[in-house]
Amino acid sequence: MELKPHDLLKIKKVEDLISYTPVPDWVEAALAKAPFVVVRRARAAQGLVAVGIRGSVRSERFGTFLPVDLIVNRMSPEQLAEEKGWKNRSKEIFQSLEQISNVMERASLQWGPVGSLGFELVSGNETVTEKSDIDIVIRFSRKLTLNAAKKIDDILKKNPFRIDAQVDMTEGAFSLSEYAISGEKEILVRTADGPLLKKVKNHPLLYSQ
Amino acid sequence: METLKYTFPATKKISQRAHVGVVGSGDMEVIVEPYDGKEAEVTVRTGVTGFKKTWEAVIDRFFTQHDIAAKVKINDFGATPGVVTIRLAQALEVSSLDTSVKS
Repeated sequence: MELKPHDLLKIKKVEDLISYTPVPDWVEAALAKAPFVVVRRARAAQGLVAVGIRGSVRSERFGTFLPVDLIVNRMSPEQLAEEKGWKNRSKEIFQSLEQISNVMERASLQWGPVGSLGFELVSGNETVTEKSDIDIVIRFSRKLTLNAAKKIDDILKKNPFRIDAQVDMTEGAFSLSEYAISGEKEILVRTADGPLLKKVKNHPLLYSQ
Repeated sequence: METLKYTFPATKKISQRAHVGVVGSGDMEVIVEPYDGKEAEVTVRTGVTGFKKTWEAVIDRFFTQHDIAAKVKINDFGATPGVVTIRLAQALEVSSLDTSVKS
């Protein structure tokens, strides 16, 4: 099982987490409500995976570690896109996922919902609020040329909800909007070792046919 | 929404306005404009409250290292300190570019 950032992992109990820093008080309550953690883009010791816990407000985020063999269940963004669980959700924001799904299918891109929408789809717990954006991840492929990125970015910008699309490469992730307008310039790429500036336009994938 | 303001003494000028970054989770946008005064005026607007000390440390470090005379506006959407520093460096690079000699 290859774990990727944004995968949602079900855990058995809060004690399974391995933390090197004091655990905030809200963590236990958050996990009691929904026993899911999200894979972070960070390095972890052998046998561990870096995960994050989501509290009820935006300032409540906590990074910790989970032994891989204690994962109960794993759900990737792609699985969520395939299941289309948003069809059973009444909030209007979820209906935008159907439109996004069509756009990604036409562009032959692998994608999935992450952030609060992904969390709500997996946990069934009310996580999405009126302030929520639609966070999605798109897997980088040779189909995602600058031109294709521009077209998709334009379509996503027309959605009534704000869509934050991150493009995920093995070595890091970047914002679709920033890539779309980058031209020859460097853009911010988030890697397991932290953010850096890089020209994605020269990525080998975009040249291999 | 929290607004934080900082001022730093400055000696160096920048050549043009720069707007970098993204409106998106874990990111920020920053607008840097040349300023005739001898200081950098930094305004941070953030939706994530409770990180005043962290902002102070990151902003202080950057503008002590780069004493540019500028008006700097940051709209934050939960950027980590690493992202803040990179975005500021990116804005500084764009604002200091002399387009005529750009290699």
